[in-house]
Amino acid sequence: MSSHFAWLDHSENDRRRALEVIDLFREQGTRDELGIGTVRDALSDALFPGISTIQTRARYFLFVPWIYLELEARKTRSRDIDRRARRFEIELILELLKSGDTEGVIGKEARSALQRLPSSVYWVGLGVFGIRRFQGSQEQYHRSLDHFYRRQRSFRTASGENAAEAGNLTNWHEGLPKPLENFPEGATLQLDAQEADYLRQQIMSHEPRTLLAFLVDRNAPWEPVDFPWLHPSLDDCDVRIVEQVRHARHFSKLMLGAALLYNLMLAEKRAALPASEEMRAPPLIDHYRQRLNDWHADIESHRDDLVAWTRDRESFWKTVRRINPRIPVPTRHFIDSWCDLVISHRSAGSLTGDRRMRTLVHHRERRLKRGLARLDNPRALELWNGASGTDRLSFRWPQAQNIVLDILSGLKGGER
Amino acid sequence: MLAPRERTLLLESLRPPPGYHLDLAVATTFSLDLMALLVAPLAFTFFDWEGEAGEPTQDPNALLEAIRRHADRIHVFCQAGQISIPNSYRLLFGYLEERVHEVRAIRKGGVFHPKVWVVRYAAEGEPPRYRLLCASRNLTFDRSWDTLLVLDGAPGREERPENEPLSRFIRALTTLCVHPFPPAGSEELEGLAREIGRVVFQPPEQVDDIGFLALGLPGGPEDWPFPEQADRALVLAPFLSEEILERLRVGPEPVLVSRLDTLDTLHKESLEGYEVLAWSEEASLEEDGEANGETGNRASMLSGLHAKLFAFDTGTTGRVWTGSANATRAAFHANVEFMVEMRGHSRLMGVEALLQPSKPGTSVLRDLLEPLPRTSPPVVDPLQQELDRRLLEYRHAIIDLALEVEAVPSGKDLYDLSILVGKAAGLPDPEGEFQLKCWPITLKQEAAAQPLSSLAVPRFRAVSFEGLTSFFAFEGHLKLDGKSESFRFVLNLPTRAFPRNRQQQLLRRLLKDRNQLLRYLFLLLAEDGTLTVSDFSNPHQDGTNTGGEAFRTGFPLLEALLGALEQSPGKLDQVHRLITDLQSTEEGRSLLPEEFEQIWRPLWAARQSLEEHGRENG
Repeated sequence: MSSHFAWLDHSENDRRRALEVIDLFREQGTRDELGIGTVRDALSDALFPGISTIQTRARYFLFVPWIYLELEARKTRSRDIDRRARRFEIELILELLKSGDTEGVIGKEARSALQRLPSSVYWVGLGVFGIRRFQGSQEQYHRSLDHFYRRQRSFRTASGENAAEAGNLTNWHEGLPKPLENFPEGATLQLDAQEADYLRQQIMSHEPRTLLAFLVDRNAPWEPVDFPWLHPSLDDCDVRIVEQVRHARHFSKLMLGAALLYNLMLAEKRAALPASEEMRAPPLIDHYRQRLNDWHADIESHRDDLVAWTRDRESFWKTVRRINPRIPVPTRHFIDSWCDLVISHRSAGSLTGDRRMRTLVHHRERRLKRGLARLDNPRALELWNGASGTDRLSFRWPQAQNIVLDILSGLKGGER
Repeated sequence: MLAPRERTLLLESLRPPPGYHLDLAVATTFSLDLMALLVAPLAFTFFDWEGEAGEPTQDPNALLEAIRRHADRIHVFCQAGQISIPNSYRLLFGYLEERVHEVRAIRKGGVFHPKVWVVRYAAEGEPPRYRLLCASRNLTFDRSWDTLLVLDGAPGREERPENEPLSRFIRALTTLCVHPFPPAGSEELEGLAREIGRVVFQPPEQVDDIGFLALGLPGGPEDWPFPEQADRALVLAPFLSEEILERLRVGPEPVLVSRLDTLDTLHKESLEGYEVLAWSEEASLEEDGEANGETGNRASMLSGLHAKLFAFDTGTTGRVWTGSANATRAAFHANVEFMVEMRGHSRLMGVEALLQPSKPGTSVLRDLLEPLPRTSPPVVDPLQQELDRRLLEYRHAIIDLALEVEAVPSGKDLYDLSILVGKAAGLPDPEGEFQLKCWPITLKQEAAAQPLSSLAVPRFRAVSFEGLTSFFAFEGHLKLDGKSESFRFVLNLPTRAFPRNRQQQLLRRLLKDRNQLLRYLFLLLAEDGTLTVSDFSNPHQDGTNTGGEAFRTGFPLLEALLGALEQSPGKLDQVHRLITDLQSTEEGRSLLPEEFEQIWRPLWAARQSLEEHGRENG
């Protein structure tokens, strides 16, 4: 390297690589402190397949294939596709921000610096609903394009091919609605009736007999609610779905107590540190005591339902295993033991002091994190932010609700 | 010159010349991202970051070694109050605490703004080499359009008067520090400043000679650095002030390039006489796409103008100044700034060279510019201006508090961290318009942030050993007439009564187990690529063992150590340093298996006697 004068480039590759290595020295633990994520995800997949917690609006299920179809039409090469698609997606952000409806625009703040693009956020969902025909990751798709164009050419030049083979030569569903004129110019998040109907058909044909399909099929908008079990017309569902929702509801209700107790134990632990801050710990302790008592009262008032549900837990595990057969045995054991303890807790008094529950939670954390358990390791305790997993599980309901309501509003051809 | 496709990278530009290693580096920046600083030592290391298929090798040990080996050879000077709060804490930041020095400008209202690296490289038996980097980008992961000038240098025989501003700049750094600068470091810097006085810098290809310009150093008022007359002039800067534009208006219709939002804030009259061009976001995206085409990298695109250039053509001579100064009043009357002047034939260097293509059809800087659309009269929000002005005052007031941090043991491996206030006069009123909070960056803001006011000085109780740090985050909120604004930054506070050998203890915590220690040892021995880490460490990793096995069946390690003793005994010095660091703490010792010490002791003795032997014979 000799003396020179040039633009100072930014190598995202280098940056990312270095940060990845630095990340290997990362201390922070997991968000799923008591390791119930596998069960939560299985239930979420049963209820809302194809939906993820970072999706926002329904029309992205069309934006992404439109972008790629346009780039395919321009025969964008594999080595360029990543960059061109990114530019396209950034343009889309800017167009969407010009519209009046910017709730849920991905990249609203980051704009051109956006790290995770909509195409990546929706990639799996697009496959689930059969909108994406290409089987594989987004990177594999990018790499496959050069080969794809060659096959397209040879197919066109050869004669006498049959129609089935022609069908193989597409990466995206052939029934996809036509993109907007001059897309992405003037794009908004509002689906038109034809698009909404298309998404509805895809969901119903690819994931029939799910709560998601039921909700789009029923075509009756509702006032947004916080949890799927609060939806006003669940009674009309298939019994299997009713069962799934019931499992999700009771599971989340019972496990919330474990999270609250865990946080209470952390607050106590912090307060017990030598010369610890008297000013700050008690409010947290009181806060979690109070929440645990409220939770317990709630459990008591639904006692009969919960007792019946815990007795019939095999049906719960069957539902979970159907989606994910590989739930670790210790996870199942922890959940079972916790539920049994809650149900068998007979004293009318507070359960904040229940020794067996505390031991169970402590062992669970230690088993998951070993030396890095917050309850044992002062550094890990220090990195606790004061609330770990203390919201009741909602199984991707907020995202599913948004996307379904988007579709229903599109079917009506109007505003939500 | 500066065609949009002429690109360089910071880390590439810092790489030592073949056969050389980093000896001393002085970096200056206005704002600082600790994460970006953590990455810099990688530039000085020859570890391979890619495997055969181009996949990252992701060996954390390589990074750890790069930092251990190089961090204490780097001094970073940044404007006090301009370190950003990292997203999450990394234990590795512990290695940076003593390397980051906060400084400020002497003149009122000024900031410390230069973006320079002065580096000395050493090689055994060879004269040292030097490199000067003069950039317009701070030590952050910013991705604006910035420039970088790299000058390679070698020691010369005599004092070179043209280098005097650079020497003076290096000498001044320690005097600008907010906290006392360590004496050992002062000597290093003084030595470097002295040597720089004699260094012969090689100008870039199209440049005949170079000059240095340091602004805002002790020693009084400065002359206006730019020519008063020229045939052609060009000013390119993201920030402008009308007074300086007045001064720069030389020659017939000088060219002015800036950001659209900056140009919008100026009165139309101040732009009169200039051909005004705005940085085109769209054109630059297009050009950038082409430049990055081969690598096809999504997120690497540059956006927004941040470079600063002052160019003048007179006759056949072109002159271009590049560096940190914007075309603002602050740059020339208040800040500390550093610029390099390049002189050459106007065909290759200067206004024409910047704007006209050297070959028809090639893209040039001009392609990134567009004529200024009609300017609207500047919009001034007096309340916003008042908010900004007061926030700036509060920023300075916090630095003036002369805060320190003291550690008092409060349990096994636990400490109470107290903030000590040197000058309490500036503490905010707890009921006032301005609220301030602070917390050590090792802790979570939600759980740890405490108010700092005339009534409350924070004390962070029962902080773990890993939680000890001199980096403290500050967050200030200002409310004025129903509008509010805030700032966040990190200060590197002087420490009192912190436990000794913290870096050695840190090492033990970073090396999680014996397996990782073993891989680290192989990395040290295998650096030149003759051995690969995986060759040796894989057969012993059965997933569950903690590495003791690997040491017991230690034949490959012994072989590697013996190989190093024969071929490149210098590597054993690196191993020695690692072992010494580990042995200095109880926990570190527990990581070293006895078997290893049995091998190591005689080997190290052999290495020492070989060296003495060599010295006697030499």
